[in-house]
Amino acid sequence: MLIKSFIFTGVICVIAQIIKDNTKLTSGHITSIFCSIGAFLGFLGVYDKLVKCFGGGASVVIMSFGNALYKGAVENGILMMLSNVSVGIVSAILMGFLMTLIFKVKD
Amino acid sequence: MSYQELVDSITPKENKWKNIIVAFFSGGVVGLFSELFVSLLDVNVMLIIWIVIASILTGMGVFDDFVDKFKMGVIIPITGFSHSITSSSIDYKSEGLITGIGSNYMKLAGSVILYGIVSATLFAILRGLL
Repeated sequence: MLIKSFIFTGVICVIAQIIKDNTKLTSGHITSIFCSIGAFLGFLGVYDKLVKCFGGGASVVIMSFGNALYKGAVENGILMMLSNVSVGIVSAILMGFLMTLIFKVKD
Repeated sequence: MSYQELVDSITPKENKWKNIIVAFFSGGVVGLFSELFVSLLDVNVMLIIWIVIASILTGMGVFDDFVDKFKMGVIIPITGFSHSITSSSIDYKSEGLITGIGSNYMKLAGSVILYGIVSATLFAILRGLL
């Protein structure tokens, strides 16, 4: 399972790297596109199988964010879709603010 | 020689094959530890661990070097999301709490959230229609 996770995350990152090196898209474009792809894979019902097959590796890439949004929209209604991803968003916002209070910009 | 050719001849060529290998192994290591955290703890705890690590490293100014070294291997996992929030908020710290930190907080992460929500809405509606 560890090896499977390693390979899955590695392959996804390689795809992103190939897109970044060969097009003019920035990291911001690529993460947004991957997020939408995740929602699409969730729609096709593929993403749950990926998570079952590749475990943590499939849960850590940004595609799982789109999948969690889609699942939240289906399970709890479109206006409650953030319920599945609120852990990630809230902890990232709080940590970001805390770090901003502690650190200064490094030149 | 056209301008574009001149630019191409001067810009340093990145080794694409090396980038691919680096991205594979760095992404793979993140995935491996994620699986370890999930099997020992829980999915949400795993996400929080990565977010906290990435946020602290960004605050210390180390994460940008990581991105240079490990390429997309650290951007595509949730670490990139956390990094984008922390870095944009630290960058604008000098402009004050509201106009600086507050208004620039979600600069890059906002696009992920926006297009994630839009596409999830579309697919959820589509699913309702089918």
